[in-house]
Amino acid sequence: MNINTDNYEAYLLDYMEGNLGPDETEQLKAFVAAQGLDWDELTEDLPHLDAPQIAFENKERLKKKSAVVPLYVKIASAAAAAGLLLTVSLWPEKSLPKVEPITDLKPIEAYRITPETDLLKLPKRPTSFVKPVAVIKEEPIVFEKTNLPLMAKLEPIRASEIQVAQAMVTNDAPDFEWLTYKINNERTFAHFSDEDYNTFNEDVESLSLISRGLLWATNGQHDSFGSLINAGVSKAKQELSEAATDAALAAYYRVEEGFEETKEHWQEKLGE
Amino acid sequence: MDRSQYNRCVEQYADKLFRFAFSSLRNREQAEDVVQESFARVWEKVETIDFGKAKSYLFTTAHHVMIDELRLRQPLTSIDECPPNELKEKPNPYPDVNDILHKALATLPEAQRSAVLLRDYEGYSYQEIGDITGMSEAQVKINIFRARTALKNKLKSIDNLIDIAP
Repeated sequence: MNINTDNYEAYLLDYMEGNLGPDETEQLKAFVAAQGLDWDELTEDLPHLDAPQIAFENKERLKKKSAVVPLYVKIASAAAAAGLLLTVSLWPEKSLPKVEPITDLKPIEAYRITPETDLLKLPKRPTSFVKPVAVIKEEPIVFEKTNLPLMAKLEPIRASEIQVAQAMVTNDAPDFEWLTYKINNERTFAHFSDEDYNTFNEDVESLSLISRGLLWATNGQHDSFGSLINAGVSKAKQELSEAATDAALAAYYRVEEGFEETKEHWQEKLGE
Repeated sequence: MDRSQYNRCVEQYADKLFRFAFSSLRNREQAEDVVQESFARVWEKVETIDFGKAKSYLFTTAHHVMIDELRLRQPLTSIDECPPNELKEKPNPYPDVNDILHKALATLPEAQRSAVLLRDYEGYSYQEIGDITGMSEAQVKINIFRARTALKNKLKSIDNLIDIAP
């Protein structure tokens, strides 16, 4: 035991907690005396703190909610995906987007979409605006990881979903004519404020259940229409009836909360 | 650690972490910020943190966050400078020993305060406190001894004032 002026207090604490043997205690007493310190004063009872009863009131805000998608959303989005196959199966194969995994993004993989033709290219936005539409497909988008394997696969593909939604818009998908007509008209954007434009983009993104539904419907096998068609799934269109399409779209619109309101809002904004 | 284990950590440790932060900072808002920041950092690395070590990780993070906060402050030198306990609805005209000790705690150097709080509130061993605060075991003991001695002297000085009062 090497007691010195730097460490004697540690030994005093050991002594007071009964952790020093007789020999060590004698050495400590000798050191204290040699320093001219008062042993009795140094070894008086020392106070301890009682922990107060204090509660943190915002625990619920700290907790993380499950990213589980409600069953009705899964069903509706899967049905929508199936119905929309009728529409997209008409697309030429080479025009469909490739989904390339980006492996260096952790903890979630993200996907970058590379359109092969101009078909998926949205109309250019006037240069006076801050964020052109094209930025969406250039930015890797990372989502909070979920513990569900299927959802972990689905979450990173929002970029893909946006592309699909936009493709639908530019390809006269059922019930999207109102958007198609205007989104193809650059002059429309000239009347938009930046705030309008951002909100518009968010609304377009809100269509993203479709591709997610595709993945769910195919048990995680296909995350884009291109993938489906490449796999020959488009042949299934013969088995899809008109009624199924209508039902799927109806279900899809129901789960897209506020879809009709959104549609009306933009129709008004766009001057229709 | 998965999501449910993380949420269990919130249930089990948020109060303790808040108590630790509040006793150091004596400011509710800042203490809440420390708790939120600590849990946010745990969530960022949730997959790499073992559930059994989450508590230590949280306290280590909170300790570092608080050091950053305290660096921005002027150190207190007397009990009189210590802000009132925001968590109490009314000031106690007859504070008990524990009230005085907690007020005196604010005048201690940060290393002493953290060490004694982790020891007395959470019952951590000296080695564990060293892991959290980055001190050696001997330094932890020295800091705790000095903290307790300082608190004892504060109590003595208040006793003396009472004794000489008419």
